[in-house]
Amino acid sequence: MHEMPFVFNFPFFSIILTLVGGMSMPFFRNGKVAQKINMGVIIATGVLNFILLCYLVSTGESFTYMMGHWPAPWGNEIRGGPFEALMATMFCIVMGFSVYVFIEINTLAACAIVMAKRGGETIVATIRYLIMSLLGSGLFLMGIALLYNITGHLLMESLHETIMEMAATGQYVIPLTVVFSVTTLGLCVKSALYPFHSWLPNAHGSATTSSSAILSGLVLKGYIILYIKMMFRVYSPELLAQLHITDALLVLGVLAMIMGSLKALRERHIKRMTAYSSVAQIGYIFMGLGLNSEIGVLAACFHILSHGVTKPMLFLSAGGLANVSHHSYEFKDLKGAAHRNKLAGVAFVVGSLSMIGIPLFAGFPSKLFFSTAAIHSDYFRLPVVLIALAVSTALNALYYLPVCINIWRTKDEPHGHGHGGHEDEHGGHDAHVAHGEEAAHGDEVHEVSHHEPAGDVAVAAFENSHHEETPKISFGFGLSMVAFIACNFALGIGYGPIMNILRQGIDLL
Amino acid sequence: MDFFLNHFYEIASMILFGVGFMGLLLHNNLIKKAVGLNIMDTAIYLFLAQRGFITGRVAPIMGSNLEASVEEYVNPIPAGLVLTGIVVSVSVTAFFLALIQMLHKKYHTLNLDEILLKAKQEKEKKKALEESEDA
Amino acid sequence: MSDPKNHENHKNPFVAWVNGETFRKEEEKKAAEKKKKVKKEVDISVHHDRFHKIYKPVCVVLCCAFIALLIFVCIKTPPFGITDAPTNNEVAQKYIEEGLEDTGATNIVAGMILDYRAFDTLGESSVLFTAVMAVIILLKKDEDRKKEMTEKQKQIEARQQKEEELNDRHRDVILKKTSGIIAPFILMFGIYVVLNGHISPGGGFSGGAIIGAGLILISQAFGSKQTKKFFNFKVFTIITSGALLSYAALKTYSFYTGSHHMETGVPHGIPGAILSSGFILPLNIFVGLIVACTMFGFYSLFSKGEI
Repeated sequence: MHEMPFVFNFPFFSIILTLVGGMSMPFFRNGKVAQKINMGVIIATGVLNFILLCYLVSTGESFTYMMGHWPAPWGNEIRGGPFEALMATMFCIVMGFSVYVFIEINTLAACAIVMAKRGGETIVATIRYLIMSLLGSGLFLMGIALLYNITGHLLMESLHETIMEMAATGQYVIPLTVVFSVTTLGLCVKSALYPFHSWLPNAHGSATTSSSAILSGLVLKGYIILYIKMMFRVYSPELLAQLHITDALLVLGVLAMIMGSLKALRERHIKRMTAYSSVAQIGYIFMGLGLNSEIGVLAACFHILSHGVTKPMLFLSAGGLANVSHHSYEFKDLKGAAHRNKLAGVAFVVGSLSMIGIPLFAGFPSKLFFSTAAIHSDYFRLPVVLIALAVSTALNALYYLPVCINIWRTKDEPHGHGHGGHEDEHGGHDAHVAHGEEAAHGDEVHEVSHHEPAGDVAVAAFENSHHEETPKISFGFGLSMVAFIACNFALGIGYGPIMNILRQGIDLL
Repeated sequence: MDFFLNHFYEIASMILFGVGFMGLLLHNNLIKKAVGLNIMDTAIYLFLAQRGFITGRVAPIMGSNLEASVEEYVNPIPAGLVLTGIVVSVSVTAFFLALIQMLHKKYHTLNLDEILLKAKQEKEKKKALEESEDA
Repeated sequence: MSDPKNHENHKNPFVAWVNGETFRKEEEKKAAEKKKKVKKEVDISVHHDRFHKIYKPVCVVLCCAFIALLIFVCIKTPPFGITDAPTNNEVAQKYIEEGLEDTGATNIVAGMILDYRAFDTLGESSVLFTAVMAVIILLKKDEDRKKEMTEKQKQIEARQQKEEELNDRHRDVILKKTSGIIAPFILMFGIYVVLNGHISPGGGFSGGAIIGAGLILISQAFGSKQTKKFFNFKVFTIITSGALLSYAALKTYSFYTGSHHMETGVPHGIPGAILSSGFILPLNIFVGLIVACTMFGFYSLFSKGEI
């Protein structure tokens, strides 16, 4: 038997490392130590995955790693390839920086993420999320059980072989169709595709900042990546196209793109708006998958990356802006907020431009790839996709640009916390307003800071803002913002090599 | 009739799944929603467990007879799957019930509609209070 | 000083919209209307608008259609209890035929979940752990929670505590006597099930659940103060995390050696003996500890908000 390169141990190490890191948390009474250990685990995992990615790209292979003493049909195996490694690296980077900013919640336990503070609204949102998520997993599980029933396998390779055999012989056609649709439906519900999106804005509206960053940037993507893997390794794209499941995905994706953007246009709450924008972006990804061509899938994968680095940045900068505006996420209170936290303002503008699809930013290449994929598809899909792209881009610009203008309004304009009429009484000084308000209703402000996402950091920042006109930007926040902006540019300019890696990864799936 | 008898457990589990699904969607009472969720999961376990059974064979635990032959024991895989499923379902149910308990402490009701209404009212009240303070 | 600009804002609806002020007037109107409504409606009938009216019938129809579809699918699949169903393939055969030789456990299911597919079980235990942590975050009464409580809640809390104290003094004699006799046997049986998991029906999960039930019974009959003497939050954390970490450590060793085609160096022993089947016995014990603690933890968190 040939000797396996040591690098192939890395996925196994990262899994064990994260699990052990999580399990050992209760032993640390001191939150700061736990935070540091958590950070260390994330960095280590990121580094491991990056090394693996470099190795795999240079050799151009994928591998299977045996967990335990028995090979695939009997034991567990991990399969790794460039695609997985790239995604894992991205996840680690985003996780690392999101967690670095706000010390609030460390688990990725899907639901616990929405709740962090105990407001009633938050729990209602959590329950809605939980119910939708459970429906989705129930459907998915049922699909898997049915699949096990007719094939007798649970592993991707053996399932693929059996399914191809069945498709060739025409056996069990109806069960197969139902299984495909049920699993697809389950994953769609879990990843908040358009008709099933209703929980997402509520969850975001009441979640803490870094929770929403992780939820939107990573958790939803996890299900989509699972779907892509199932598409290639279990079902085969041709079979899905034959059963018209990709058509359904295309329609839902296009609907999500338009409806999500329209809903976002009506929102006046910056986080809910960004959440609706997420609905639209998920639509883009599913549309790419529904295009039924390799370049469409590639575009979808690239969009996962670009959205994954852009959305957390938007959420974090929105949180940063709200911290200097009395923890309010309403547009009217955010007026001129960018002057109080310049870095967050810049990051928000960069994120907006990227979402709109301006060249040099991460959103541009993904839109370019979507259009290329559309041109390569048939005469029916071409106009639909192109029109949807154009409309959605225009809508994106329509709801992101006003916010950018709003937050960068000049300082002498009174920042509107109350009605237009009495604003001028307060004059232009933010600090003055803050002081006045604190004197007037100190308890009230305190209450608000309890209900709005506010970890210790946020409260500290808020208290800072009483003493200084521009609150000091913390080192962590600055670093992560700069890193996110850099990632955005890196994806926007250096999309060539990343696309090559993705292509290699998809081929090797 | 023949196919009905042949697929008795499967059909039962499918009906149970539908009942649970409907419960999760339709009931306004949160506890009933949790019950619906559990019925749904149980249906899947029933489905998996009946898949493993083979008429005339026994559970795959060797007593004194250590010479195993495939013809004696039922399929062990579904048992393992069901075990995994039960643990996950217990965890999710516990989390769900904890959330429900918190909501009940806060709003003194289990009806989701009422809770939504109360949460909305609370929010509006807070907003109104804020605005009046502003003025 | 910004009078003219404000004026402009009111004139130009677009600028106002960018500023996030357009809907202010409408919202105020709506809010005023709603306030009126809210005062009137105590019942929730207003909340049931047209969407809610059609929601239920549509849901029922869709679910029935879904059930019918699934039943139709089931009829197409292989019948119940036959020998040559696709599920009874070479994977299941290998487990039965070589399970004893490979793992040393006479309980093939235990061998499967704790040796062949131990990675899944590790994931399961971590899910359970995560759930306990989430419930602790949600329900545990800590200093923060106490600060947040309103006066009324505090009163209720105090009353409950009083009642509990009263209960502690006048516990039901029958329950006390009976559980005094039964509880040791329950715990013993749980331990038996855990320790014999690899050679008889049972294992960590079922045995742990039995032990947990015994602990719950003790706490019910003798009051939480009695259980707290030997089982408090610190013990809970140490046992749960410690067991999980040991599980992970054992499995890491076994995974690592397995993937490098090395022997673990742990003998399988004589099939059927208690000390056999390599890692399965300690793994069962760890799983049993985790499950027992989790069950009791859930109970006491739900009933009292503390462990």
